[in-house]
Amino acid sequence: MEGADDFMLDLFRQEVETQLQALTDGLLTVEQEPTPARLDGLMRAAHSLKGAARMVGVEPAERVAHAMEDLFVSWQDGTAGITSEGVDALFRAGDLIEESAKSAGSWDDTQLLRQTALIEELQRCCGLQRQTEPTAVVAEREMVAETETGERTLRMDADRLDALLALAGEVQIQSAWLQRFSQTLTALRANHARLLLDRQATPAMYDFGVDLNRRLDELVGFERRLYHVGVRLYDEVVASRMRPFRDGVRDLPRRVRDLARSLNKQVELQILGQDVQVDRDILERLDAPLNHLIRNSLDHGLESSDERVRQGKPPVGRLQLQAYHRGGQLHLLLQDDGRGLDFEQLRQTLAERRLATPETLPGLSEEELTQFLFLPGFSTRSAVTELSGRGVGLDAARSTAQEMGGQLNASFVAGEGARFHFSLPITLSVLPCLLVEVAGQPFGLPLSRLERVLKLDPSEVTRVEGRRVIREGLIGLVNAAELLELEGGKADGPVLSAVVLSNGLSRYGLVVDSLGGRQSLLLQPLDERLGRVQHVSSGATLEDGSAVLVLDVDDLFRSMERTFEQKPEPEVSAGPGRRRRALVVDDSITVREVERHALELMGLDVDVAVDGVDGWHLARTQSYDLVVSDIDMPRMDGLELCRLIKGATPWLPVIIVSYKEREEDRARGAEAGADRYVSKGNFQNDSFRETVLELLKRAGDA
Amino acid sequence: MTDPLLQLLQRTPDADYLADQALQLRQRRKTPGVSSRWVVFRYGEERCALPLGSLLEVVQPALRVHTLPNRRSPVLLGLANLRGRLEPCVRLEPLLGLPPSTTTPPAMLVWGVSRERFVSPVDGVVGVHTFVSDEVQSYAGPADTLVSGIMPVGPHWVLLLLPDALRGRLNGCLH
Repeated sequence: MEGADDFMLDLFRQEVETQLQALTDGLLTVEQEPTPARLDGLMRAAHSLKGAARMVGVEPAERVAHAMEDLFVSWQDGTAGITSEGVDALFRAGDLIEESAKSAGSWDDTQLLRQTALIEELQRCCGLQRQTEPTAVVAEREMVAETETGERTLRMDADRLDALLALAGEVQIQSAWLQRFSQTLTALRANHARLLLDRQATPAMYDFGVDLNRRLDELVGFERRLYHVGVRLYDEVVASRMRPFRDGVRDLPRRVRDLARSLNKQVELQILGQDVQVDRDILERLDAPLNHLIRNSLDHGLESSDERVRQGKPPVGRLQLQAYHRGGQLHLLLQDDGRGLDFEQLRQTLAERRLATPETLPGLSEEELTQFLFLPGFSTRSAVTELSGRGVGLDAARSTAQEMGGQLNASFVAGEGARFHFSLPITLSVLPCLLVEVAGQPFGLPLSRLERVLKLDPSEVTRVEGRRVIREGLIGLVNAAELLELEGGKADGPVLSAVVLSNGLSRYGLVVDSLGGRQSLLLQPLDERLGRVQHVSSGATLEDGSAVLVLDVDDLFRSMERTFEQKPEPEVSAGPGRRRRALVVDDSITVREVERHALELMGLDVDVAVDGVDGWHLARTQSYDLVVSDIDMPRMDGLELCRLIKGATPWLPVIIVSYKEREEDRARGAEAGADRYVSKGNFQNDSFRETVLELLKRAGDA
Repeated sequence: MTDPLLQLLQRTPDADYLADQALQLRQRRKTPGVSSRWVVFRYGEERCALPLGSLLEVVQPALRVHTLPNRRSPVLLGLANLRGRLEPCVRLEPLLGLPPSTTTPPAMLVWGVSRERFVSPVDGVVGVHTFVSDEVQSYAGPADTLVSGIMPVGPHWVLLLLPDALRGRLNGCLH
């Protein structure tokens, strides 16, 4: 674009932003209440846009704004009716102007084509008659009222705010130094007083002592005041990172309106708690999951007006979004009064997809069933619509919440509606951490991601495949200094300090030099020039002025898994070129995974089956060196499986692992031909491992 | 007067500092050229200088540096807490072909170009010197793209560093 310098374009962008907000607010309500004042406001917004575009010489935008203005004029004088099509076209016109402002006013060919089409459409709307029935209604109560009250805001560079936050933290560190310093002076004062008494001071010395005391009192007073100013400054700067919830949901009414229209549904959106203060980073990251859930509600949850009327519900569906603080957390509640969830249908889907066995399904509570919706890639609707169910599912929304140190839960009542509940930390900038030392340097681990902290006596650690594992539970241990490739520093004494991390399925212990205390760290992003730093999510400073790095638990977990997946010299070797294979049969995913993990640690390749039939199919078609099976399973139990295996391949060792511990249970196992019977109660100790090694050795010797 | 300058002036000057300054005053009278002020620092017996405008601060004693995991580099030492901000701490000697310092650095220079800051340990800060452009001699040693020339100060030669070129090279080492 010629003629407009950067400064002018900047002004244009700001103008567009302001006017488009007014336009959006007005358009959302004009269909219901076409008051002269509202139409006047819309006129003014379009007029200002036109003027601004002309000033900076963005001619295509000026023409669009002109056409918008024309349409508002015909609405005002009644020559054209206010139609949904018209409102739609105006929204899109606003979008186009916004785009042009962002792209510095230069338009590409497709934008110019869209512009021509839009102007034609706007002109067409000028000649249309008023429609009696709007297809979508979005009543949005609080938004308008509250924006009209107007608040004083200040635009601020995010980097500058971060710098302020860092300085405020530094003030605290410095005043902590002063506090320690004044404490040492107080100690000196006591010594001095003793000296005066012992040595029978002269009046002059005594006066000097009194003077010194007075000055020291002043210093202590000053130190206290400075400390409080420091604390308040820090709190204020942290608070300035907060934005009202309103800022994050400005676009929602518009989006809901557009969506409802495209789905031909009627919905009333209500947003409560718009003044609730939310960390600006949380606000930003909530955008995608909130959008997804709202799409879900509109697409899957809310019924069409006809259907709603048939069910005795009001024709317009209700969608309510509420933000509030409680218990030191931010809560977001999204509720609709749609169809909820058909649990029978969900059970059917789960059975069809073999995600649960038909025997276990009736026993699952609605709450348990709901958890299946959060499985990756799970969608309750078979048809993939344009709006939802495109892979980005509830699981993504939940993991976003978890990444922020929070949680997402859902509950449904069939025929009555759905409720999604986010509970999140108030701010992302302060993270409660456990401090640990690795290679002599401080690191922070987010408390929310730690399972437990252990001090391990050498007798509690054993070696499997040359790798250290905790005897109890066979949790693999990884040395943090090795993983992070850091040198120097060492744990003192034979006792190991470890932090157990879990991702739900498996657990690993991270061995550190020493465990420190808990501390809330004020996070700062790492310098962009460093790029992504492996295993580190952010930095912070400690009270003593040293730097601390906060470790990325997911990243650590991946690396720890990789360390254990590189299978070096297997403990169990089948001779050169072939690894031994085991089959694990159990209907519980937890047991399967624990057993598989234990066998893999011993150097075996492992297949799993979910019940006897599945297991028998594998045992018949594949070649194994060992079978480990549960007894109670759907379709075919473990005893039957054992009998079949021993009938076909008598040499294949079978270990039964069961909760049943009575003598007669063991006898039945032996009867079925099982080589060993291990109680699940004893699984966590070495007896399972020893049994496996013994059976494989015996088979190898034979 | 800028803070770093104030800090430098408050130090006890080196023995030959006054003599150097006097010499420069005499030389300046003889050769009118463009003069500029430089902060001179040393690595062992080698001397280097950065334009005073690029110097933000001299930190004494040196800051503690936190090593970055999985990043072993002769240049990037880690991160240092400079008044609440974690700034990259970088060694300049390897880039300039100078032998690495074996002692614990007593001071650090905080310098930068536009908004990019670096913290660099040095073996000592010599002082602020005014150099006249006519007297700067060309340099053709290692890393000559990072050096604009050399300048005699007393018995030493000082490498005049190009902060912008250094920044470019350092940023390549940070990833």
